[in-house]
Order: sequence, then structure tokens, then C-alpha cells
Amino acid sequence: MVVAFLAPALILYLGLLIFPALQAFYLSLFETSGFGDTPTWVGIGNYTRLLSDPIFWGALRNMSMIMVVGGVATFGLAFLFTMLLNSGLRGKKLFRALIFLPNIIAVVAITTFWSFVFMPRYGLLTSVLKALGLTSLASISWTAPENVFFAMMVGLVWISAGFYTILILAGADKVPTDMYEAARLEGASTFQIFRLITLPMIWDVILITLVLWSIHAIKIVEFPYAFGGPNIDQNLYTPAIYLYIMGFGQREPVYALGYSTAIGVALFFLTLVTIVLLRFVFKRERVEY
Amino acid sequence: MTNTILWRSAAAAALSFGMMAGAANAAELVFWSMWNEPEPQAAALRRIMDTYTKAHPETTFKVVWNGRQNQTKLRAALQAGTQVDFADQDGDQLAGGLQKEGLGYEIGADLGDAKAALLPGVLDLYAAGGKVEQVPYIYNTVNIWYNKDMLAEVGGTVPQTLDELFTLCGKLKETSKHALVTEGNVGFYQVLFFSHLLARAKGSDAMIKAFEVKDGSGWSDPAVLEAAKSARKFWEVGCIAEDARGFQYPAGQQTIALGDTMGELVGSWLPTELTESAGADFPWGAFNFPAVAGGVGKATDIEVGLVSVMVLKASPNAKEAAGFVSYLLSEEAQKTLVADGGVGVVRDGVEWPPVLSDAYASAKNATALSGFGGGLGVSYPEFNATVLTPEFSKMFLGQSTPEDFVKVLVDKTKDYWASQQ
Repeated sequence: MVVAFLAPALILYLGLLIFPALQAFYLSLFETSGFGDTPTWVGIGNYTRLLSDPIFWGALRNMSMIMVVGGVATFGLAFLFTMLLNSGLRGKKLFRALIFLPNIIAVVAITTFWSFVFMPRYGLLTSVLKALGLTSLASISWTAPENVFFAMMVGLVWISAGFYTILILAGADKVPTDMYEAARLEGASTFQIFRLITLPMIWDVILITLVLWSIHAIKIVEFPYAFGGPNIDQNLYTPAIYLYIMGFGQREPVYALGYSTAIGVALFFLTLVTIVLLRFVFKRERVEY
Repeated sequence: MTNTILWRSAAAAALSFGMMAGAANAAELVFWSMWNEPEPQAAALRRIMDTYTKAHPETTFKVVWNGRQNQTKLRAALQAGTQVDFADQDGDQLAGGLQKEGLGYEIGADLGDAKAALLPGVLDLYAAGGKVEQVPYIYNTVNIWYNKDMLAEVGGTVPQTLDELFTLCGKLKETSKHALVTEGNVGFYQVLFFSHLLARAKGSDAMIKAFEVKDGSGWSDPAVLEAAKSARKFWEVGCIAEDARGFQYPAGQQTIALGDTMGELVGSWLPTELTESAGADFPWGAFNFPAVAGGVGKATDIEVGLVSVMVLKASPNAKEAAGFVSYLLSEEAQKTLVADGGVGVVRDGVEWPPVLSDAYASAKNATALSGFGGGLGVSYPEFNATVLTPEFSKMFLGQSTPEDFVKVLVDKTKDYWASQQ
């Protein structure tokens, strides 16, 4: 009887998730273009090739930068916003809405805006710097190869900080207000209240948001691709973008589907390892209230 | 009376059999296209198909307008067993995709007289071993597209040699303008400088020849280093503005519309892309990349970006689809593409839109054709996409030296061929 009730969901889950995932593992052991050719068995050949592929390592480096540097900036801002919004600020709901606003705009529109901000010669940032008389800063080409990754990251942090602020705020709102009031009566500063009350009380929320951010950073495609595309250069590659370039014939007819799938499988394991590590490193005793 | 009934029955039977036979010949051709439906090229194709159906009522069309990722979508569809009769895509991409996989129908014999009516080299460009599996129908040339008024303002003339081009750069720089621009994030535009310089020095197939020397030494030819150095010189002498390193498409080409730059080395789609910002009356001109001193390549050897149509080998309607493709090359259809699509076409004698007149002359007088970027992307797309283009881009934009670039090419070419064994 139980099987009968579970069957529809189980069939969907197995058919749409588990089976394709297993098939992807299997496909990653072959060399194939995906055009109906007979795949050639290469065993772990695609994986050994990955290990010696400098483009893949470059993409991994970019991904790590997004995860760590972008993460520090995003969560730094999110904590700051949470702290300010929980400090008894008037118009909390309005500010919360404003902070979240970039998330309701299409990524392509957001990246177009940021591309315009950083555009050399005619861009918003250059114009502002010129108007302020900062000509040496204005002459910097913010989207030149050596700067383009960090220019992209500014936009990414800007859009992400609002999203994670909302998640952290949702947790912070559950903290009993009398604890804040007691702390204020004792003369605690806003930062002390955040560090000693809010943060420990919502630690499980923080952990979840960190996991979400890490997964987002590992599989990120859309923001860097839309920012640097349509013909994205390698300075902006992430592993997921590289997967797309190698498997889907972006501009050149490159159809290395087996290799591309191996990148996907590697990302899957990377995600698992990252989540386990995060849960281990950030494990704390649960605080009850 | 009985006879009349018999005759009538016989006639009705004959008519219905005839209709059945007609129905058996009727074909709905499934066409997957790289155009998006609102684009003028799509409108032109739709009109051509309608005209064809009027003349051949038994042939109708079902079109899926997929956009530029057409071939990738087609791959998934073919795997799922979807019937597609013919498709179109950039010729370079088809050559490295469906054609390379042997999925194209050999159409040469179906084209008849149309073959002789095409512009020089068009049909041969992708014909592997004499087999024609894709048929170009839209023609883009790669030239230096420029503002004629700006050239006249500095008293310049169309440069015939690289030195003349650098002299022109100097004249424009004196007026605080720049001769050329590039898009900092479009590697395959940047690599046109290298492919043209090498082709002018060593001939139009120089890129492929250099790569096919399996120990990598093809790139050790001094002409390769010279081409890389000449490409850097475009920045050093101020042909291209320093801040162009950061231009993200389409910011670079917009500087032409704004009057800050004279031109860009790019495909003949540029005037169409800039119509909105430059205006319909912009004084467009185009000239071929100039010759280099002592080079064996001619200035009339051009790189092209052709759009081709391919009938799929597995199509049950391959003959009918080939019939339509043959019509697509007819004078009538090609004129419709020009008039409604605003593009250059492959049939000799069909004038291109006025704004592309220089490109038409370039195509008509071409002495050799090669694919975009010297054709390496057609024959060896993975090497081109993951090594040559990004490494050239690094060097071109000042992140490595010409010597580093050549060394990487030598090493990576050797690695590539070793991995193929």
C-alpha cells in the first residue's frame, strides 16, 4: 500500500533526477559529440584531462574567488544591513524592500546596467570620476582583462547582498525582542548586540545561507556570462561556463559532450565536499530561545 | 445508363487515386533556422518559402525559428528522434558540427546549374573531398568597415599596404581620433588581426598549415612572430585607443557611430548592427585588409562568414528539401534575401544592398576564401576556441608578449597532436 502511494513521486524522482544523473556519470566516461555518433570509451580519461587543463583550473580559481572574496563581501554587507535594520531604524520595511529590489530585476538587465557603469570613456563611473576631477582614476579601464573579473564581482555582490540580507533578517526577526531590549538597557552597542545576540541565535540560518551561497558560487553561470558575454573571455570563466563552452558549441563548433559532462560531475562532487566541509567547520551547539 | 455509371465510377476512382498519389508526393518540410522570427532575414526566408509553395503546392514548410543556438538545439532533437529535413547556421559552425559528424546529405548533384552561378569559391569553401553537404546562401565578408567622411577629412586614401594603414593611423591620431577599434571581450574579432597578417605574409591557408605541423614548429616560422608583433603595433602606434581594451561588445563599434573612431576590422554585418545609432545615411565604406611587405598573400584574399543551409541525410524528404535549397540559390530568391533581409548573397550578379556595395566588390574580386579567423575554427574548433583565440587575446590586449604567444602555440600544438595519437 505504501509503495503504491509512493510510486508516482518515486517514479518522477528516479526518472527525472536519479536516472539522468547516473546517465551523466556514465556519459562522462566517453568521448562523444552528442550528434548520434558512437561514443568512444575513455574511462577516466576525461577526468585526468581535467586535472591537467589550465583553463579548468583558471575557472576553478575564479569560482573560488567568487565563493570566498565575493562571499566575504556579500555576507559583510548582509550583516551590516541586518545590523542597521535591526537597530530600531524607522522605515525598516521600506529599506528591506529597497535592499531586495535588485533581485526582482532580470539578471541580463542588471548586468547591462553594470557594464554601462564600468564602460571606459562613456561609462557612468568614468563620468563621475571625471566630474570629481579624479582623472587618473577615470582613465582606468575597469573592464580591461586585468580588472573585468573584479568589476563583475562588484555587481554580483551588489545583487546578492540584498538576497542574503532578507534570509538573515528572517532569522533575526525570530529572536525575542526582549533580549535586544535587555542588551540595550545594559548599554550594549549595535555591533555588540549583533555579535553576541543575533549571530549566535541565528547560527543555523547563517549556516544555511553559507551553504546556499557556496552552491550558488559553484554553479554560477548567468551573472558573469551576461556581464562579459556574449563572447565571454577566459578571465570570467567559471567551471559551469567552461562546461557550457565545451559542450554546447557557444561560438565555435566545440561539442565535447563527454568532457563537458565530466566537468558537471566534478562540480557535483565539489558541491558535496563543500557542503560537508561547511557543516563541519561551522558546526555549533544549538542555542534555544 | 449502366455505362454512364461505370464511366463515372471509374473517373471518380481515378481521381481519388490521383489525389492519393498527389498526397503521397506532398511533403511538409521541417526547417530549423538560426534566425529569430522577428529578424528581417527570417521574414525574407518566409517569403521565399511562400513563393516556393505557390509554385510547388505539394511542398509546404514547418519552420522552427531557434536563433543562433540552432545547431545545439538540433543536436538534442536529433538524439530524441525528431525529424528535421533541413537547417541553417553559420557555415563554419555547420562544418564543425553536423557536417563533421557526417549527417549532411550530399547535395551537389541536386544543385544543377546553380553551382556555376555563385560567387567565386563559395561552394568549395566547405566541400570536403569534393562533396557538397552545405550550401551557403548568405554572404558576409570580413573587411575594415569605416566612415568615408572621416577618411576624407584627414585627406587619406584607402590604404593598400600595412605601412599606409599605420600612416593613416598617425594622421587620425593628430586629430584626436583613432583609425580602428576592437571589442575587448570578443576574442574572435581580435584574432582577425592575426589571421589577416599571417595570411598576407604566408597565404590564405597559413593558419591551418602552421597548426598541422604536428611538432608545433609550424608556428616557429618568423612570419608568425612578425604577425603577432604587427598586431601589437596597432596599439603601440595608436591605431587603436588604449581604453578599447575594456570595451565590451558593442561599446567598441559604438565609437564609430559616435565619430570617435574611423572603422573596425569585422564582418559586413556591422552597418546593419549600427543602423540605429549611426543612422541610415552613415557614409559606410569597406576595404580589404592591406598587403604586407614581402608577403605572398594577396589583399584580395578574404575571410568570409557565410550562412549555409544543410539538408539532413536522415531526412525522408531529402530530395524535396534539396529542390528548395536549389531554388534558394535562384536569382529570384536571392533578390528577395537582399531586398527583405538586407544581406549580401552568394549568387553572382545579384547586387547587394547599397551600404554593402564595397563588400560585394570584395566578394566578386576575391582570389581566395577562408573561414573566419583563417578557417582554423572550422577544422580545429577546440584548439581555436581554447588556445589560439584566448592566447592571442591575452597578447593583443597586452597581458603577454608576442614571444610568449608564439611559444604557447608551439607547445600547445605539440600537446594537441600528441593527445590525438
